Amino acid sequence: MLASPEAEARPRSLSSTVPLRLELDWTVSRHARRLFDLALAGLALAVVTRRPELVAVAAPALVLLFVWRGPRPRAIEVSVRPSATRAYEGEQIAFEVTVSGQGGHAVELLLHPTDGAQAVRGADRAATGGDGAVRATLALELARWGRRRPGSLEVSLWDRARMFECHTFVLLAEVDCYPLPARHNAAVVRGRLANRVGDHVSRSSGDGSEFAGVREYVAGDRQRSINWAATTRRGRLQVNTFAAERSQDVVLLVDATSDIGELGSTSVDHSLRGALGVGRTYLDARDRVGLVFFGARMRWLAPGMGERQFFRLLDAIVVGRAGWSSGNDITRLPRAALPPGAAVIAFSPLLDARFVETLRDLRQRSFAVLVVEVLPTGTGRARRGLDRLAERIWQMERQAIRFSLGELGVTVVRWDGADVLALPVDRRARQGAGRRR
Amino acid sequence: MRGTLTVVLLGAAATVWSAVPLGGTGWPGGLFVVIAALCVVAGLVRLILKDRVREEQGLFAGGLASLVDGADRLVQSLPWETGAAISVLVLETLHRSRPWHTGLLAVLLVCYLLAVNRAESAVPSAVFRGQARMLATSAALLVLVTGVAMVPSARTGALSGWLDILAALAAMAAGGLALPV
Repeated sequence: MLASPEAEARPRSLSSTVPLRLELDWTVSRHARRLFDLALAGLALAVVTRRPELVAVAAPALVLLFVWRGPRPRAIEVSVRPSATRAYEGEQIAFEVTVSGQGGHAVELLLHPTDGAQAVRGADRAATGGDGAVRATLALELARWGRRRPGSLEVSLWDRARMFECHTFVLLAEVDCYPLPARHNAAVVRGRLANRVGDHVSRSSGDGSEFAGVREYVAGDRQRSINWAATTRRGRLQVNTFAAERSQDVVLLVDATSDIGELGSTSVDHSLRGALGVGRTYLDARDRVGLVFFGARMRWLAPGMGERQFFRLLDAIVVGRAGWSSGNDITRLPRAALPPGAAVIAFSPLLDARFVETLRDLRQRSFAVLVVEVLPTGTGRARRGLDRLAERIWQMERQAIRFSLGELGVTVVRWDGADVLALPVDRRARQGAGRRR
Repeated sequence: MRGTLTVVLLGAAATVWSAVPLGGTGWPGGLFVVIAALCVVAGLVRLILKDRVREEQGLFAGGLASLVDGADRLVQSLPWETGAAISVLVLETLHRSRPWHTGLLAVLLVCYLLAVNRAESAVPSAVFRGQARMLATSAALLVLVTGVAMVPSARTGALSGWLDILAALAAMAAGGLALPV
């Protein structure tokens, strides 16, 4: 038996939008090896049994093997152009592949996805041929966030009789895959807002559009705000007052101390998706949003506003372009990363005691803290008596953690990563999140 | 799917063609029929499973998962089609000499291997038209060698069988050299 060509093929070069010249190593194909085995068996049996008709079995195979001679290219040029270099989870990226220099040989293209990417059925392979440059468009689906090469492209060439073949690999270009922002139904707004213009209705009066009340006219009031109906009733000039519209600082705190669950739906995956969804909503409301990673060391992105800040958040998650401080002590964070009076929305499985202690510390420092508990592993697996007892104790411990946080005024909501993230919007929860000790 | 069906039909046809009549071949005949059938079926399974996306096994995969994975690797790695072709040839030799029957079997076997090649490739059919001329000439050569084998020999002496084989080989070589490929 001849050596397998697949075993000899290895990735050779990096992908590029400019054509890459790839040297080819031609080997005998699997089809040729089968024909060779058939011819050999026919000749051997003919000799052993002394029956000349068995030579006829070997005839076509030998003709196909030894008579066929054709020129084979020594190198080809391959270019792979991705349709995008940035995408969200679940989106597809198309790769436009151009192969030239194959000299009329058949070309097969096959995408091999790596971890974090999935093949798209029917769009992950193409076969073509021809004398000129051949083009094909293949596609991969990005399944998990991160910066990585989503796969490699296998380029296989066959001669016209499919007796010789060669395989070469091209690594695809790096792609940034961002976590898909979670859907959620509301945004928590603090009771006291910073003195910056925004979209949230404040308790103080100002120049907003939300009606706040009626008061007596004083010198300097604008004439257009006079409430003529109230003036007629009371006999003195009355003016309408409006609520001021303010913005708030929101810091998204992501607990990366423990990452549990199946790949693609771990606690950190859920945390990042939730944080991005919440961040998107607050940025749309003209709030300033920052990000803090709580892991072996703290990474942070100072609060900012606007569309550009959203892409900074994405980059901070995927690429890691963020400030950092050694250790995981929240008190070491600079004031810019955690502005006084900011609303802190933490995403955590609440498994690490240090993180729970950090939440308590933040609350005691008068931050409004809301915790979204993301624990992907389901319970109820315990079947034996002792297992059930252990699970019950564990559940009680978690309940105790939630209770202790609730006593401090920290609201804890649970989210499984699949449903719509429901943040507490009722008045009691809002007051709790914003209450000062 | 049509390519896979063609492979199965050709494999079954070659097996049946070489097996009939099964009487007189003894237990080796039955054994090689079973081997050939098994190889055809295993080759079919290989073709069906070749495009399946394999999930990576965890470090502590279960026994059943390991067994399925091992069977999958076995099916993908062994040359089942070669085994089927050789089994069919051996089965044919268990019968008495019948040159035209063997010639037709050779056609079936070559078609079977070509169909396997077609089924395991995603290349469009147009690419295969390039070898049509060569296939036609090799078929002509097959007919020539079968014809030589059908020429009655004197069958005297110990070397007569060898001489017949040499004659067939010579006819094949001459035909091969004269091919306009």
